[in-house]
This record gives sequence, structure tokens and C-alpha cells, in this order.
Amino acid sequence: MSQFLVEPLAVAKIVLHACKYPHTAVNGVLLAEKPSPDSSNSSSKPIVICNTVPLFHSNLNLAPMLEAALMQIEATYKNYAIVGYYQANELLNDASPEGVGAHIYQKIAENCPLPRSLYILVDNKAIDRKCSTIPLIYYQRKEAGQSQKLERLPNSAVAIDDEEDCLETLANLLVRQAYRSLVDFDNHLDDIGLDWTNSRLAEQIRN
Amino acid sequence: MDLGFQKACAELKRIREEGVRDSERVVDLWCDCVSRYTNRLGDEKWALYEQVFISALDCGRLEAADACLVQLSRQFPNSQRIRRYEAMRLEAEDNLDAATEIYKKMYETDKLDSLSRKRLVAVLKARGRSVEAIKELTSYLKDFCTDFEAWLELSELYLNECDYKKAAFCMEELILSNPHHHLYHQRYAEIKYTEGTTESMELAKSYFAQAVRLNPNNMRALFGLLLAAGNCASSTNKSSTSASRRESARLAQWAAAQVAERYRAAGSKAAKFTTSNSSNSSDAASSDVATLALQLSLCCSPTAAAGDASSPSQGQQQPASNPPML
Repeated sequence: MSQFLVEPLAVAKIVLHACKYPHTAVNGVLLAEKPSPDSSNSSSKPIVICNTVPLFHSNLNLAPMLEAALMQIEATYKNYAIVGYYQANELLNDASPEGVGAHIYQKIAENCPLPRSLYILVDNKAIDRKCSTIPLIYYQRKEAGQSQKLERLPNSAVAIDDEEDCLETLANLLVRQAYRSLVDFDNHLDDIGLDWTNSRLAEQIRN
Repeated sequence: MDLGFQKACAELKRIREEGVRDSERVVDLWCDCVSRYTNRLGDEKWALYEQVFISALDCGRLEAADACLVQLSRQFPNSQRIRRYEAMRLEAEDNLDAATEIYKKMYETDKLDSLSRKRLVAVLKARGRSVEAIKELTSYLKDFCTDFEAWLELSELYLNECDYKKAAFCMEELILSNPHHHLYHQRYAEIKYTEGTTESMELAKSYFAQAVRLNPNNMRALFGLLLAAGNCASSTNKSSTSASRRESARLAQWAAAQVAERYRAAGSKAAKFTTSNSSNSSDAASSDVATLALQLSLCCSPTAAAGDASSPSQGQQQPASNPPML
């Protein structure tokens, strides 16, 4: 039984964000529905990551805008919790989750109301227009012990909802250059008229 | 891509002049609208070939890059600039050793060749050797200390290594040379905020305020001012007086009102031009942020922290267009 189920919208937004800014690192947070207070034995069911919020494509290691973004996300998505973090590294060959991303993820994991949290690292080398595989690598912090190092999860621990359809949708989005209309929090701060929730893009992806 | 030739050239010129990095668009415009009609271009042709060459390298369209390089090499044989472009072509193929050789030879021949030295730093960065890149860039800046682009790059390299003090030093150099540039003040403030000590938070507050004074529409500076002033107002450090905390609270409330005002303006502008569904969501979003900003600023009241009898009734004044004097 997988620990997480990632919906196509979340996968698409992560890959589109990485494709919009191929020359810099990008990051964002993962959202899942908050559990209802009366739900029992929730730790055995997979956590459904239904959406993401693309955050920044420059200066990922500066705190103030990250704090402002997280507060806005919590205020806007009242029925959702931040359950993880994603990052695409700047260099093509850099597949390390360590660094600033790991610190941000640890903070998110400490405050996560759900039993588990997830760190998704984009596999830069695996992104291609044909979309033959999901270009994501999964990490989680080890719960046991003080080390709090990140541990790589096997692909079986994270399922993609309707994977074939998701890959086909992704391929279509890349061909249409849909990433040009993706808005991350940096874009929003440059022009606050831009919608960082990407509701229009979400409609397009769902259809 | 259905733009006519004239419009495509105008768009390419705008991208060139603004220095925007939109490489895919440049190459698409070139391939779809312009490349077949280069005989219609005057001397602008060469600037265009250069622009398309660099953009094509940036998005891996090497055939387009080669076509441009051939034209440029024919027109400008024995040119150092073209030689540097040949080295960049090698970089794009990941042949970093050969590219480094060319840059080193060019630098040995001409010690004033700043662009080749900077490409050496770029190659080190591409190899992931940040510490060496920092060393090389620092030595470059000893010779070319007014190169603002290089100071900014060095600041980013230090930030990647989490060396906030040195990153801040680079921004200080930039602020000294360009004291009216709001972005440098804002970036310096962000670095100071991230350092997290009481003194650095006070500095962050001051520099965010200065950035807002230089550009009242800088949203990052407004948010930063709200957060930094809020942190200063609720500081339990012995060095902060109740007067300074009250001042910080006032500043935070002013910043919150400014943020709320801008979101309301953006929400109503969006409502005029969009369908009713999205205007509801943007109105809701903008009122969410407005509420959040005001709630944050009210939490910064120093009375709770200091047990002070005087209430912050000054905070109820109408917000002025400039931040209160610090």
C-alpha cells in the first residue's frame, strides 16, 4: 500500500514550474486536504496530494517572502494543509535534496498536521517532451532518531493517480507551452494581479 | 505563431533592449517569422544573429545556434567576440574543458578581457564548483570593482553557500554605488531578515522602509516591512525599548494598510476585466490578504509584550502615503 497518492494536477504544476524556469532552481509546497476531526485510523490510508503552490524561482534561501507566501497559502487554502515541499535544482546533474530545500522541508514536516510529509525532487535529466516517465524522486525525513536526515523513498511508496493519463496530459501541456501561463509566487509579487493559485490552469488540466 | 515579420522584429528588439531572458520565445519568433527574410533586415541583422545565437544555446536549439554562428563568423572573421561565442557553443555541448581552454587563452592574451573571465566563473558554476567560482569571481572584482552584475552574482553565490554576512557585504557595495536603487535595499533587507538576530532584524526593517520610500509599489519591500516591523514590535530582547516597539508596531500597521490597499485595487481591477467566477475568487483572495495583513499588524501591538498602559490609538490614523519617519 503506498504512503502517498499524487494527483495529476500536482504532478503537472511541479513539472510545468521546472520547465518555465529551466535555468534556475524552483520550489513550491504540496497541499493535501485536512483530515476531518472524526476520521479514525488515518495513518494507514495514503495521503492524497491534490495540489501544489509554485513559490519561487530566485533566491530560494531568503526567508521573508517565504514566510509571507506560507501565511497567504494558509489563509487562502483553509481546508488544506501543507504536507510537503518540492524543488527542482539549478544544475542538470544536481540530484541532491540537501541544502536550503532540506531546511524548509524540515520546518514544513515539523508543522504538518498529517502523519507523514513528503519531499519531491524533480529529476531534471528525466524531463523530456515525450513524457515516458514521471520525472520525480521522493524523499522523506526519517522519523526515528535525532539525525533527521532525508531518506529516499522507493517509487512504490508514492503512487500517481491514473499515471498513463497523467503522462499524456503532461506531454500535451509541454507541447502547448502551458508553462508560460503558470504563475508562481515570485510572479505574483512582481504583479499582484496575477493569480498564484493558477485556477484557470487547473481547469485546463482537469479537462 | 502568426506574427508578421515587422511585429516579430519589434518583439525581438523589445526583448533585446529590456534584457529579458525569454529564450524559447526568441528562437520561436526567429524560426517562424524572421529567419527566411533576413535580406529585409539592415545592420540590425548582426545584433539579431547574436541575440538568437545566445537564446538558442540557452534552450538547446543547437542547429539554430550554428546557423547564426556561421553568419557571424563570415561577417566578422578573427573576432574575439566570435571566438568567445565558439567557446560558449562548446559549453552548450557540455564540453567544458575545451571551453575553459579557450577562455584562459583569451584572458592570457588580453588581461582586460572581462567577459572571458566571467565565462570562466560561469563554467565553474556549471560544474557545481561553487567555492572555486566564488574565489575566481572575488579575484575578478578586485580588478573590476564597478561591475554591478558581478557583485550581484557573487551575492547569489554566497547565498547558495548560506554565507549571509558575505552576501550582505556584496549588497552593501551595490548600495554604496547605487543608493537610489530600491531593489538593492530590498535584497539587503531580505538577507538581514534571514540572518535572524535582533540587530539584523532592526536593519532589515530600516532597509525595507527605505526600499518602500524609493518605490512605494515594491510589494516585496512592503511585505518585508510588515514582517520585520512586526518581529521588532514583539521582540523580547532587552535592548528594545517600549518606545521603539511602539514605533515598530505603527510601522507594521502602516505597511499592512498599504498591502491591503494594493490588493483591494488589484482585486477591483481584476473584477472589471474578468468573468464573474474569477472576479469572485480574486475579490475573495484580495480581501483574504487584506484581512490577513491587518490581523498580522494588530498582533504586533506592544502593549501585550510590555504591559504598557498607553494604548496604540495612533494606529487608527489614516495611513499616509510615506512611511512614518524612523
